[in-house]
Amino acid sequence: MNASLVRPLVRAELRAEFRAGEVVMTTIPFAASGLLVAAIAIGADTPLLRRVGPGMLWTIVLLFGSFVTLRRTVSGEPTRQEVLTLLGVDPVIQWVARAASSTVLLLGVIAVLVPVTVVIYDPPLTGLAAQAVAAVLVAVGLGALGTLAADLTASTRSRTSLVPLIVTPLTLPLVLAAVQVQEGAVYAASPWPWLLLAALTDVTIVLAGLLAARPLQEGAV
Amino acid sequence: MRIGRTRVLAGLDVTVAAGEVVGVTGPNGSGKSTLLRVLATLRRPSRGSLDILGRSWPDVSSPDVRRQIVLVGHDPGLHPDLTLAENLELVAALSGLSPASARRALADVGLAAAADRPARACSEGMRRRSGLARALLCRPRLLLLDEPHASLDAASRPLVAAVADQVKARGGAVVVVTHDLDGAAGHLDRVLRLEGGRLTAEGCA
Repeated sequence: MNASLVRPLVRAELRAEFRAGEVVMTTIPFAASGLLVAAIAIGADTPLLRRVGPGMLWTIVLLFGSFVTLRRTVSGEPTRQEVLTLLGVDPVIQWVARAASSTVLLLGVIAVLVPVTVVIYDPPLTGLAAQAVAAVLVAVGLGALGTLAADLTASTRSRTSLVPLIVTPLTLPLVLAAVQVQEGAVYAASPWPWLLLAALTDVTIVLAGLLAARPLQEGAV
Repeated sequence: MRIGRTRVLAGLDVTVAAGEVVGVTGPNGSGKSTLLRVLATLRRPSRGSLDILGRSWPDVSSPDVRRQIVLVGHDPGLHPDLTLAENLELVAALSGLSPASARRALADVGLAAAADRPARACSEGMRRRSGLARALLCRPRLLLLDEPHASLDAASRPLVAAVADQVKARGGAVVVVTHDLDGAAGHLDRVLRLEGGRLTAEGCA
């Protein structure tokens, strides 16, 4: 297994995505609108908005992030996957490349939605380093889980609705950890237990993805 | 060979020798494309044996065997948002080849001027030719072509024979599924006819 093949694959995935603009032109504006609509629904209760802001951010990231992992990928479509298979690219490498590119895109989504949340909800800006680590852990976990779920549902007709159904409950530890890290920063509580929970969730998801990649692809033969 | 409960190939005993170009013809649904996918190790035969490049199933599905096989099907497997050059440069990068070799392969099939055009903006024929460019780039020992003449204009049709001849000259084998026996006849050593998943005729082209 040649890990150096991940780099050209990720580069191609990201280049194709930036050119297609699905995430930038559709997912991010839609997610930002979601944050705005939720704030309008809550009303002009500023203390409440400040309190619920981080929770709203991670809920929106979770809901819209699963669609990021469903975008048309360089290595995910059946014919392109066959071309890669015949080039001798290990299914595990293909999975890692797709999960890594999804993670990068999710980090981009989070990087845009955080300032939007700050503007709309005005949450307390404390413990930023721990929150940045939490954001990376959420992106890694969601990217890996979405890629795994997309593979699991590859041959089903209702893939677009099945993936969020699989992803949403399994990412609850990540969302919980991200929100608790922010809450903990307000009350000067240690973020480590929650960061550890997010990291363990990520490790579990990534291991499951790595172990399932080959059987899932070879099982389709 | 079954797909679901449908028997697609049955009683098929075929050998393709190194340096041979074999045509496969037959009516729609006769199992031609399935045969190519089995030969490409992308479909597991439900019964019988499969030997490719000196290896037997399941060894044939190892990366070192698969790297020596190129399948150019109806869909050449291009990402629509990447240019033809970027698509082929990815193939080159994954094969340990230079980006320049990808552009050379595109030039060899007459696509130098269209190399920087997104695949989505290319005609069906151009996308087909990019599949042939992939075959030139990867220098396979087993080349599998599914209806390679479809969508190609008269000027581009000789490219199929040129690519097949290159593989043959290097001692590789070529299997061409085609409905266009007249167009392909010049470069086929042998023709197989499939009907209902069975070999019904075999002869020299």
